[in-house]
Amino acid sequence: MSSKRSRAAFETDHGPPVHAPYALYGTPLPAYDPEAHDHGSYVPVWKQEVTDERGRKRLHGAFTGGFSAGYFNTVGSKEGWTPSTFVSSRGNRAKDGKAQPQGQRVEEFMDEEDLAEQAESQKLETQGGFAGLGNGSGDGEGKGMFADLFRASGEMMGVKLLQRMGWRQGQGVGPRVKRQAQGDEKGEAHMFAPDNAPMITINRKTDRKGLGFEGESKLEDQALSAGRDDEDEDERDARILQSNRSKMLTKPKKVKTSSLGVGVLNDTGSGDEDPYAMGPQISYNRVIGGDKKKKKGGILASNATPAVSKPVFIAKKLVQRTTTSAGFRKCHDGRLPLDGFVLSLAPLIITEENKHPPPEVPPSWQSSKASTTQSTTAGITSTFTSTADAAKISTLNPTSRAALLGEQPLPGKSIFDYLSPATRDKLATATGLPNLPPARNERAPAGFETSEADTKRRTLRDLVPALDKETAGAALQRGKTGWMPYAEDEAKRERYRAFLEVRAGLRAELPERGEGFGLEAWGREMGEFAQAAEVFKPISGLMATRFTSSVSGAPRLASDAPEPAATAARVEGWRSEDPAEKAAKMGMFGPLTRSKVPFYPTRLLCKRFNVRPPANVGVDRDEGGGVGGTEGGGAGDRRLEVVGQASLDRMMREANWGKRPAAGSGGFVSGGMEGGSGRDEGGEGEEEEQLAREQLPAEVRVDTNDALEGRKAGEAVFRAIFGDSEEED
Amino acid sequence: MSRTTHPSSFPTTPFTRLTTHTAPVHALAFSSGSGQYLLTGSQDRSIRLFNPTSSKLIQTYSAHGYGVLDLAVSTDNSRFASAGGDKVVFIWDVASAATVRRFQGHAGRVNGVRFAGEGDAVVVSGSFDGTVRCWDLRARGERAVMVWGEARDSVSCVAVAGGSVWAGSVDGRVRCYDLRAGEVEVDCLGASVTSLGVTGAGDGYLVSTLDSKIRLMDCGSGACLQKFGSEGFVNEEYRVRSTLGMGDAVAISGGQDGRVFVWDVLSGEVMHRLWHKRGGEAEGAMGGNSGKRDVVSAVAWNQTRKMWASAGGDGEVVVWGKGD
Repeated sequence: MSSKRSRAAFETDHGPPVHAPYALYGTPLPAYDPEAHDHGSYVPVWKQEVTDERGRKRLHGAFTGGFSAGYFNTVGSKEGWTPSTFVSSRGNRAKDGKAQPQGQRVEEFMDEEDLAEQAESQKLETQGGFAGLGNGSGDGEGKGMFADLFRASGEMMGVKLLQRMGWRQGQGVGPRVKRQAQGDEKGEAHMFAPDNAPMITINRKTDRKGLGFEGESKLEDQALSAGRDDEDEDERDARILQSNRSKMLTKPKKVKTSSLGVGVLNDTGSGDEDPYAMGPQISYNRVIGGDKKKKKGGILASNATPAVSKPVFIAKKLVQRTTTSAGFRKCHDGRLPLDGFVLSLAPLIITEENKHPPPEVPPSWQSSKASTTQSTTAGITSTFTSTADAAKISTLNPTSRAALLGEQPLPGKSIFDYLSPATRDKLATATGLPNLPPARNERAPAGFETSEADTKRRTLRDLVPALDKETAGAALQRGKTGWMPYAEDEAKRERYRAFLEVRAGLRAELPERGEGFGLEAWGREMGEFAQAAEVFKPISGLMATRFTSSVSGAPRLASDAPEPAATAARVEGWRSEDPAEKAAKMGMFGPLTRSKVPFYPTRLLCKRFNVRPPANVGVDRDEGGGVGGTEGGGAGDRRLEVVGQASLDRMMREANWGKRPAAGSGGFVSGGMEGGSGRDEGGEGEEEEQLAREQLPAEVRVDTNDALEGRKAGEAVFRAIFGDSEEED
Repeated sequence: MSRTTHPSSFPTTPFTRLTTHTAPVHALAFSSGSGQYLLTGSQDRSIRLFNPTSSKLIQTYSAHGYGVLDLAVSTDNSRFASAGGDKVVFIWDVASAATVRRFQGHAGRVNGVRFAGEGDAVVVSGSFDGTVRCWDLRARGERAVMVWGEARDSVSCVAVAGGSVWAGSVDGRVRCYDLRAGEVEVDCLGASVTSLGVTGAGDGYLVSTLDSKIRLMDCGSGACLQKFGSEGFVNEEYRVRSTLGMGDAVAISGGQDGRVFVWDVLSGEVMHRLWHKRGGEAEGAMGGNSGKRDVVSAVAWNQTRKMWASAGGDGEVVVWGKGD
């Protein structure tokens, strides 16, 4: 490889190049020197040679070998494509297939370039378990249980390096320490490898809780933490699934599992060993080669055979935990804490209150301010008492207060004046007040005497349950016209009727009590009556307009079954109040009986009828698109067909009718407008309003009707109303 | 109201009595056009096709599970609609005697059914559930095109003329749904409506109510043009159909006592009181009481043949014609 020469050296060595006198910039190539063998030197074209990567000459001119170059450039062997040795497959057919599989490999037919290409395509990768600090840094959470199954385990490079430097698994890293052997109190000190320092596990923070927040530690968790030490390996793995654990409490276990060191003596790979007799186990040690090495280098190799009794290995940590005091522990790196410090056993709970309680006030302490006020107001003994307390303390009653204030006694009489002494005593014992006014046992004033029967009634009246007056009236009305319960018991029905009349206010005295009827039974019967009458509670408001009673009778079919005889007693119901009905009854057909309600035929229906749709055409259910106009309310209402738009309008109008007192015809217009405009919200304002006004139904009222009473009712109106049917009369 | 014939020539001779039905007959319909055939719908769940002149039973249509309450024949006579207690409107193919369409959606028995629209594209039905439903025969859907729920009680009858649909209800009102104007004209009649018939010109309708009155109402003003009633004509309980006949010159209605009453429309006078009931003349002379078997619940007029039919609770259909 040619090294770069400095310009000065170049110029001093060779002088200006002969062949390129015009080179003005850069470093000119050195002059050709056949002896120099410098690849970077200038070679004339006619002297350049083509070689392959091994330096062999590959192009041969007619004078330098000619066509003899042939197979060197193509096949690569003198024989060309023929196999070097012919192997007949007759005798060793099977051998041909299996024993010499490499005879037919793809690589056999590759030349160097192909092989180089193949080699290039193979990527060089580190082994899976290479990266990582300890075995828990990368996938610390997934350690144990199934994670071991999936994780690529192997001897880590760091371990390998350490082992090469003389470290053995189970030992700590660092210079050797001189101490006595374990369990040997009197023995002389030897150099020992330092204790294994557990890895610091750094848990990745995945939650959004604050730093240092340990979560709601479960009761069970705390209780179990004491007995954790004798749990076996499997359970420890299972515990990993618990997310909210107190780090402090579980730390010893965690430290053990995540330490770099391996229990050298005890790693037999079986999971059912006594954890107390074992050193800490590590989960990554699953490599066959590593195992062998460990056994070779182990202090006690006999552990592998179960026949040999196990030496009891007591982990250093355990020894420390048991022998030393609880607070005398080492830090996670194996060193003792600083002088004067002791590791805390209890976790730091930040939220703990009263950790530093305020200092207690000495009992003998007296505030300087209080003493001053006391000293200034020492003479006045008044302590503050609230008005309520004062009132409680006070022993005065209204009469004594009145006497103190000098009031004249009221002329009226007290209720106690009319009580008998026995009743007063009863009151006194009931209330616990001994100072009730004395009972005078006076007679009731004139006009207020009660007869004996009256008092009895009064008490009986309390037994009659309450019932709405309207309900009672409706039940009575229903009873008059048709159905009434207790048809089987005439006497009971009479009592029921009397009860209803009492509750409807039509009757003063209570229903009679039957012969041999106890007071309780009578009261129970009254309750039953009240429940029976509740059925007839009138429906109120808009709901009532949705229902109609079939009092006027639907037409029966000739095939219908004959009804019971009760049908004769049919009466007109609420409908007789309708002015249109009244007009129809009177035979005044025409504007009085006619009303108009807008409705919204769908476009499809108009199409089927071949009718031009009206301006207020509704929306087809299947079209769905906006048609314009009044679909603001139409689409929603059409969906629930229970209440048609027209009937909704009518209900609205009738509701307004009911609310409005006789306010003249203006009331109707606005009432109708409300119904209309409420529907047309969202549509075009003006036009819709006009439309609504045009479509106002011809509302009529019997008491104030222009057609009947107005002065200007012309001949035509009368003729139109009374024209045909009534003329003859 | 165009009168092509004089009311005095009203046919009053019962020349055929069809007694095939075993239950009360609720509906009568002459075929469209020449009116050659008569359809009868009965409580015995069957619909029968007769040739009234020869009194021959041609076809029996049976698919109903309940009594048939109303019938309507399409203008091309290829189909007819029937409805009844099974809440379903049936569209029949006349020739094959099979139902072509069945429209479900009513919540109660269907009291009335009519063809409507251009080319009978729509069927209108009124039901006990208080709704009038329009069914599209052109679409394949089974849902009603429109539902009118204005009636506050059972809709007892429907009638169609042009772009208007009339619906008579038990709440005593006749509602005219005018598609052209987009509004409902509600005429209050005071008593439950049992029958509706529209005049040929579509400007008036004949309505029967349960106060034993039949009225000819003016569509435009809602005025009562004529009132038909008579001593002896009682209709207070049963659904009794009425019809206009003789080119709207007469009004025909059955009564509860087994008689059929015929009025002159112009004068409002009773022209005929005809006994539908077999042997009714003798009984009527004796003043016998009438039961539900005597109700003449349906009448139908055939304009081209000048014949009419009456049917009732006895299950018999009487075809009336000229005496010759």
